[in-house]
Amino acid sequence: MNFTRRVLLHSVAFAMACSLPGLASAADLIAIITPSHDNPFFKAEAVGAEARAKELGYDTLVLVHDDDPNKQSEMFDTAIARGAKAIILDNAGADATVAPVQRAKDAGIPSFLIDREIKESGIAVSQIVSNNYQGAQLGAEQFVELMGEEGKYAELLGREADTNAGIRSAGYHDIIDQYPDLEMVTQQSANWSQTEAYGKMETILQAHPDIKGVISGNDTMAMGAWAALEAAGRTDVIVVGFDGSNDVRDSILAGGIKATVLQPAFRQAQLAVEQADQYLRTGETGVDEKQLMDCILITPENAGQLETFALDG
Amino acid sequence: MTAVATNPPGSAGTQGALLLLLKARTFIALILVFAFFAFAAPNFLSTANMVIMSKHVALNAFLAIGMTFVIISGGIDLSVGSIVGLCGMVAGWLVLYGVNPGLGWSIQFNTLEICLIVILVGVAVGAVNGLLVTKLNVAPFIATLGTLYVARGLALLSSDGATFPNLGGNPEYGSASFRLIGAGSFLGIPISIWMLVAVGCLAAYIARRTPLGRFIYAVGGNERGAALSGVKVNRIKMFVYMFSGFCAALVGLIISSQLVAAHPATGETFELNAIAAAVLGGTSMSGGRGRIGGTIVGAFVIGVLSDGLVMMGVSAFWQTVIKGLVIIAAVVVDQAQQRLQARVALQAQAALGK
Amino acid sequence: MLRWLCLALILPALAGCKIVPDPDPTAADGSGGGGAQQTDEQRMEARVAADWEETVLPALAQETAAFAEVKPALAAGLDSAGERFGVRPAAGSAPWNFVVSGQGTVVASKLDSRAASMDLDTDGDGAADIRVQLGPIVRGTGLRDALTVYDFTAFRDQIEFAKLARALNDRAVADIAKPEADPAGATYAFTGVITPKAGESPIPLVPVTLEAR
Repeated sequence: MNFTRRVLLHSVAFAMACSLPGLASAADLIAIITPSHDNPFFKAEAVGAEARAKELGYDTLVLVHDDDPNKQSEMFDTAIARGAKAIILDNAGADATVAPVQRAKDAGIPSFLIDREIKESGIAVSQIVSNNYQGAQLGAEQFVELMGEEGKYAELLGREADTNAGIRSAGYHDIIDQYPDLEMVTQQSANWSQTEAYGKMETILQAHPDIKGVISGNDTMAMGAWAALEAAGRTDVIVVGFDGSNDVRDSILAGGIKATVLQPAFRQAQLAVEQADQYLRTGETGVDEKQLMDCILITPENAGQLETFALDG
Repeated sequence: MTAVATNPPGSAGTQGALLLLLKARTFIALILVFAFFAFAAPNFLSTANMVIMSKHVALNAFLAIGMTFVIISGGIDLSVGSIVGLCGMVAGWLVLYGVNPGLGWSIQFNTLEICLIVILVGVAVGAVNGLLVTKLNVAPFIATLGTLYVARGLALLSSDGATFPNLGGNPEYGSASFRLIGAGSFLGIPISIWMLVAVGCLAAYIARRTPLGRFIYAVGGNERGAALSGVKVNRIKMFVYMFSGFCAALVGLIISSQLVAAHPATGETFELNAIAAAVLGGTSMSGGRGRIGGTIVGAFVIGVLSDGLVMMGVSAFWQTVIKGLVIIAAVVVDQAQQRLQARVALQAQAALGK
Repeated sequence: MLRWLCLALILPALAGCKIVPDPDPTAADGSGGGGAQQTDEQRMEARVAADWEETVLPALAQETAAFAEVKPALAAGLDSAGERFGVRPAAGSAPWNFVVSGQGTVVASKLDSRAASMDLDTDGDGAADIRVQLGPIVRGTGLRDALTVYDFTAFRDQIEFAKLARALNDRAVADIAKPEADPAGATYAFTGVITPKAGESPIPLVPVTLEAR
């Protein structure tokens, strides 16, 4: 079988495929697109949205874009091709997401964004934004208080290409930099990863043994840093995280990590589905497009109420 | 290959039929995958979905075509994914800022020039790969692993990790048509598919009809032998790496145009998909064997498989497992075909000898 | 042959490029048209400076309620108090903000911190009810969120919106005369924004006016 014959056969297969009518789907479909579920935060989002959509009588299609804008764009194509009625999205980049959301809008599919915003308003129906900046400020205020407004500290950053890494760091520094007695000895990226944070923390401890605190861009890195500090017998170092995962909750309750900031991922995802449902039934959500959802500081006092990115009571 | 084609029919009828079946395995796999998803995934067979899937496949197919040449020549190119990212960032930079030598003015380019410069960058990285492999005798795996990191680092440095937004172009500079590379279509078929058709035909022509193509096979099959019979091995190797860089540059252009933004992490692990497509299409990792047509079909199998699984809503973790199993199965079948082919050829020789 | 082909392609194409002078040579930073802009902080500061007298103060004045009335309402329930006196952006989960005025006696103060504050007792029971933030660091986004004229949708992203909150807070405390010595026992009249959380006392206040009586 040579190349030309393959091409010929191929085009025949295509022609056949094209002439067949598309299959009709029964219940309305909602596509839920989030980053990879290997991070419990995004898993909670997907699970929350899926559960609510099922309750409201929708079919769901749960997709994962791994924080890759190109893959996300392909996911949008797929959702459009599947004839989804609405898209719930935790996006893979404030700039690179504009084009696919616009494409979905042109195809008549409304998008409801959660967690992170995009740099354009008027193309998504809702943007329920986790107020990362405010959350970071909360975390930083707590950090400053724990540090007693002075001392040396290190910062662990998330992946540089990620919007939230920048926002959180900016929020931290917005507060911390106003205290001249707090000195940042090093700022390192650990790519959101527990393993990398562990390694980076070990190195930082070698270079700066007099360090007093560590502020981390997310909980997995805080856990990694804490593990390294524990191994080095430096449990006096103050560690503050971000996200509000169950692992860090347990560490806070056990007196390890001092504080974290909860993003209400579960509730946010459900709210997005509710707004999508409202929009599909009535043609409007009744609320502004961009909605900020404030983060909540988690300390030993309220850590007990925390469960899967939601605060009870 | 030619030995099998001239194999007298009837001498080994069932074996011949089996061999034909094995040789067409990638294509059969494609048909099976197609048929499966036609039933399992709603809307799979709609025209719109076909066009969309082809667009997705095209990205991997470009890389896989470049990769096929490199693998046939006995090398490997791990840097293509990073070149995609770097070229996307170069394109983004040129569209947004042009070239600014810091003298109070900047040079702004039109779409065609942007494309040419970006392709030049891709080819240049390919040339670096080629030089490392030929002049400095670095093993291809290591040389391209090095450029993988360098190119990715440069892409991240170019914007400090940020995304270049709004690559809509500027009509004043003639770059407003930049969007068309990814979004435009001709006769209802996206531009990127037409580009794939052009590059695919060019590559297939080079591989089958030109001395250059035959030299690539010769270098991969037996490098010393090729060198002794007068093939300029180094030149051939330079060509395959540069061509691979060229293909990666095209993908970088298409992605940044499609997303109307350039993201420095674009293209991570693309090289693995490209290698998978080439292997699935029957390219031998030890060099000397493989076909462009097979690679394109291989890319379609991978692309249709992943798009179909996504449409069915299969968990992303399972998708990864399934992709891996398909690649392993492809290589196992490939080995079986090699053994059978050798046996048929032996029998044919024996038959002639009688 | 290939080389000639390439040259033949490139040469005519090069005629199409343009040499463009940088938009503003004094602000050229090597990135051409991309740079040469104010930072978010500067823009928001300028915006607050322009809006303060004209929109912010009148908008606040319109929403102001007496703290003496708000306090018992808060004790009865955050949501019911919010319905009566509060402001919050859109619906959903945003917390209630209250623009309040009142006066009280200083029962405690912390002036050596960068986030200085003093606690006021407004009802004479000896317990602190309001914690007036004196800056220079002011916590919370209550002031911004109490101003419905600023709609998040109209802003680029949360960073810009956060800078707005910061600029508003800075502008607010800039007008406040921070007591030099220990102010314990002095009486102050205040107007400002509170964002009470359930069970929180004293409630932090972002002051807009503060006068010794």
